[in-house]
Amino acid sequence: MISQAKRLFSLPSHLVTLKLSALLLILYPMNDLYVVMSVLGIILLVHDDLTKNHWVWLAAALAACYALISNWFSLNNHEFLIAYWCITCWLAASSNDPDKVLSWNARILVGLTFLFAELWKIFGGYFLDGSYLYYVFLAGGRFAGLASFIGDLTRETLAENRAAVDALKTLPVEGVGVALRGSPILKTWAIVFSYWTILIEAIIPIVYLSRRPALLHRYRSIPLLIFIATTYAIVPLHRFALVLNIFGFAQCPQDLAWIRGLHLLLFLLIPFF
Amino acid sequence: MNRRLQEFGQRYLVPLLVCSVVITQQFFLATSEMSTWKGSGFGMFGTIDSPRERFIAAEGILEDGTHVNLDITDALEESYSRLYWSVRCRLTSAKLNSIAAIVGNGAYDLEEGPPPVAAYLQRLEHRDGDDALEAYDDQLRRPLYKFWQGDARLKSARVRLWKLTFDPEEEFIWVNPVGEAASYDFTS
Repeated sequence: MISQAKRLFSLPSHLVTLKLSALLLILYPMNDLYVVMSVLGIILLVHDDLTKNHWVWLAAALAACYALISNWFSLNNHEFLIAYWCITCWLAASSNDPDKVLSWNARILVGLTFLFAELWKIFGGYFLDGSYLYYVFLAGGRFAGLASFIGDLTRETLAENRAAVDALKTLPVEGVGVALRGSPILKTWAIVFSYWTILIEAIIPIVYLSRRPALLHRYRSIPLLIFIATTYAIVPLHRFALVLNIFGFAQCPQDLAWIRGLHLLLFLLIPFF
Repeated sequence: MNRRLQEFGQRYLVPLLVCSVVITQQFFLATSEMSTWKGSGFGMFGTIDSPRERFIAAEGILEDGTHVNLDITDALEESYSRLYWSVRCRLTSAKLNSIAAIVGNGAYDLEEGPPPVAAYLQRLEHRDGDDALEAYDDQLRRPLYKFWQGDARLKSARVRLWKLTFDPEEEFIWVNPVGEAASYDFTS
């Protein structure tokens, strides 16, 4: 295991990025073509020459694009990101300077992803006033443990909220609804978490897409690492976190080995979150 | 020329693709009933209108002419999960008609007891201040039939997609229809 880790660190940066990307295809293939994607991922992993083979990456990119086109409206955002990334890997594998291609595209992908996510949170109408998170805490189910811990509400109350929403769904009448049982402290926490998310998601596109200020741009990975560590410890979206980690690793300046190491560490730890 | 094109592609193909998809998502949001979470505009968590919070409700008329409420969610999730997910991501009349046909051709079992929403009658309110129970009209009195391997068959069925809306100030959650209903009628 240790010798494998040492070998991984001794490989050229682009090769590590491509191998992590191949691993992603094996772990989380896109739904329609999971056999094809997994087989391509294994082929890409078995030998360094195959990892850099642009024909195999072209096949992966075409398979990913096919999966996108055939399930356009059903797929999640990270599955689109995986397809964009397969195209990037193909472009990198065809290039004389794969590190540059991977780094540039990863940086822009992170910047654009967070830019558009931030715009939705500001203009979507549900995040700026904390209402999305408040609803998720009250009736989302997913965060019942956290909501109960911070919100001065019992798990039974939260389960009752969820049951009321479910009951409403069995016999819906336009405009008819039910008052959920909440708490002022939970509402405050929802606003705090919302503003934390808005803040961190605003910083990331700025430092990724703009080269000025130079110091912030150089250490741009830090806010991304903070985002991944704080968000995905709570929100169980492992695939998105893995994709962002690969992008983070690929675009990190070569001399910041400790940051690259943190991205690798998070990549390994995320499935255990 | 080729080299310059290659360099352009390496730098701008993926970013242009991302921006094009985001613009496409805006187009589909403006022209169809698509969840803001879908279409890769990165709108997830920006609104509560996720496909998981959208649902289909149905009502029908049995062969003996009785009007009934239908509980179809478990059957759709178990046997038609892909179509059900797809219509919740983006409503199209074709997909809803397919679900109406599935529901119309289903076999049903009578569910004993009051509908689940009856347990919350005291807490039900109408968003516009109208009487919530009046808004239900006779729906609360109708028997509930579950889509399963039962003996009851339908003469006609009507299905509709719904979504939730939340008011954080009043901690009030209510339902609104998405698009038009679809019907399946054996007599037509």
